[in-house]
Amino acid sequence: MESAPLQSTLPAHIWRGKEHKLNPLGYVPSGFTNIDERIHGWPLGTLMEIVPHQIGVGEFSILIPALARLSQDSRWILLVCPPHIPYAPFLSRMGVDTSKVIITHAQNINDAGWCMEQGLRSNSCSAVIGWIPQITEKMIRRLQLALEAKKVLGAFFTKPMTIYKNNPTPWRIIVRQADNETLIDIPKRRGGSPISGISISNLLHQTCCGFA
Amino acid sequence: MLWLCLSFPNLPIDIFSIGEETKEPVVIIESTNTIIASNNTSQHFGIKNGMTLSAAYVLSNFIQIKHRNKNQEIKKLEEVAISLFKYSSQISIRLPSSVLVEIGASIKLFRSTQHLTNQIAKTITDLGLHAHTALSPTPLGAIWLSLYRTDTTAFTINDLSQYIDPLPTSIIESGNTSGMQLHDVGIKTIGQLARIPRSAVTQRWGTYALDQLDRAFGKKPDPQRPFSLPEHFNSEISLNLPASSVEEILFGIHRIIQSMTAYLQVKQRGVTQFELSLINEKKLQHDFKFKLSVPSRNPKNLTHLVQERLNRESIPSRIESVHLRSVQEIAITPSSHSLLPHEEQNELSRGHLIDQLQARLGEKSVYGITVCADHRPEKSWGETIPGNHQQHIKLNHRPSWLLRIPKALTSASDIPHLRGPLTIIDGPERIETGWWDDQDIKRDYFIALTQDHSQVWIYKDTTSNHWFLHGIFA
Repeated sequence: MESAPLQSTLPAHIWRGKEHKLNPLGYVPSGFTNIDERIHGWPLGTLMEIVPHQIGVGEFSILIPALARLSQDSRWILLVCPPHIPYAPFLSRMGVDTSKVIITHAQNINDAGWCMEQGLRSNSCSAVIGWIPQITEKMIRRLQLALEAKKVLGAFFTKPMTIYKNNPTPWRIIVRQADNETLIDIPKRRGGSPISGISISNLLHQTCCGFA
Repeated sequence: MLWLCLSFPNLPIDIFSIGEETKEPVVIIESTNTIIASNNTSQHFGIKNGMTLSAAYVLSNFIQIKHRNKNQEIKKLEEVAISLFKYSSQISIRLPSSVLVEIGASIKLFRSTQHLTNQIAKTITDLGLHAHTALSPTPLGAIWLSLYRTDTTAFTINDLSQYIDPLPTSIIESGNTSGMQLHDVGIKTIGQLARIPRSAVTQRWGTYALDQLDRAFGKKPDPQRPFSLPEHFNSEISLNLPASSVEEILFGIHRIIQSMTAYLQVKQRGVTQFELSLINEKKLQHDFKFKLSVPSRNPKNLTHLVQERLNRESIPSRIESVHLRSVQEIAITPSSHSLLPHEEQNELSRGHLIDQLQARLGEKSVYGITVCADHRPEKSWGETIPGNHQQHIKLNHRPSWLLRIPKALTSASDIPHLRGPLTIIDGPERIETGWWDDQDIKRDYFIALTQDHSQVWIYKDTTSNHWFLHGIFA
């Protein structure tokens, strides 16, 4: 109670470590209680880099409830160069309207980057998600620029975490599995401090029952 | 009625030069090797129309020779007519090189005659053409005046005679084949002809001359055959210089697309399929077919699509001309403003994104997905055109990734291995179906965990007892 008057004397632009700035464009609820409580959901208009420890630890699934929500919108969900077939029965079961999903395959990394950029710039996508293992820094900057000030979920998946490369993305999310649990670390996020070990209790269970 | 006539005396050469004029002397010849048109540089060398080719070679060694292309001249006049539909609905083409526009009914809309004619002049310049114009209350009057004087304006019939009288009688003779020789007997101008008693003229030269005269002065009706739009847009454009890269032909492509969009605008349609052909020196033709998911008549978007596509594919070298043809058009109702902002815009840009991606990556690389009613995992999904509505089917738990071709796994004492032995955490789910199309399967599906915590979807083929990896819970 005593600290209240002291706080009010501070100029508005002084940032204190405890607080974090809310994303100006808002968030899309992730569908996982732990994530929504700690970080409000996935940020819109900010590029996210998702680094799985291993393929198959539930790295794509962490976005699915958010995609299900975004697919209610009339806009597209653009999946650029997915490594395998995004399985329609799975998406449909999870509540994603598959008629909004577009899949593109590119011959080379430049075309893949171009695809994502077009999707982000077009104002006709609610989410643009790419699988570009060899993404370059220059491309990341371009994508971030295209995404700026747009209410779009933009994310790309990198190679399974073998080498830690410091990409200039505002958000970095690491997905790992431990003791039959999917854990999410966020070592980097705009306007906030790093968080580690958010548990998405039993993603498999969630996918089984959550949206049935 | 007020007729504006646009005559294009340089049409034979104008169709060969788009954009800036070339510095080299260019001449157009007809089959008799006579020069019928030449550019400014040639005229600077002293080359005149009517000269023979050998005479022209004496004046300059470097002349570029092109053969007259009458078809393309007609196409160009049609293009002019199409672009003028925004000013008037009564347009007719008078061969060889004139376009008539009735502007009397449009003056009020464009506030003044001056303003309207300025607008028309600008449209013509944008098409890369030079026109002589004349205004007259009769169509024939306008044609005659535009052929002999530039920028004449006669608003009434009474004004007309002072402009038409001094014109040479050759103007009538050129339209007649009966060997009329007014000029040779000393009747040099239209004025002189008009003063001769009518019966004397008819007796000597037939009715043709007086008929023309009456039409020009408005004493006889002179109905014009209106130009009607062709069923499809079909046009060709020649490049100044042979081009070998996309950048070099882009200007021409942009121009021809603009003509097409002007055509679509008049027809109130949007194009959904069109064909572009690049024709090179050896007259080899490379065709590119375009399909759009939403009808469009936006020149910027269409140029962009073509550019992306051409960048992707190999184009022939030394392209001389570009040919554009609309194959399918669909009526677009002009947009009325929506109460909710951007709604319609959104629908358009949704389709445009698909077209753009397909133009660069190829049609097969951009698709949507759908659920199919089949228990076989590889048949319970399908590729579809983007935006196709999904079926509602009750489904079991499935992985997020499906492998297009199941990967065979090694196994030891019936325990499958993938980077070490797998731990089965759920299953089996038996799928045994498909006997009707000779692709029947008998499989037991399991969810398994690898040593490094990846969740995978595997099956055991119950006929061969082999293990396969079919999906990943990513």
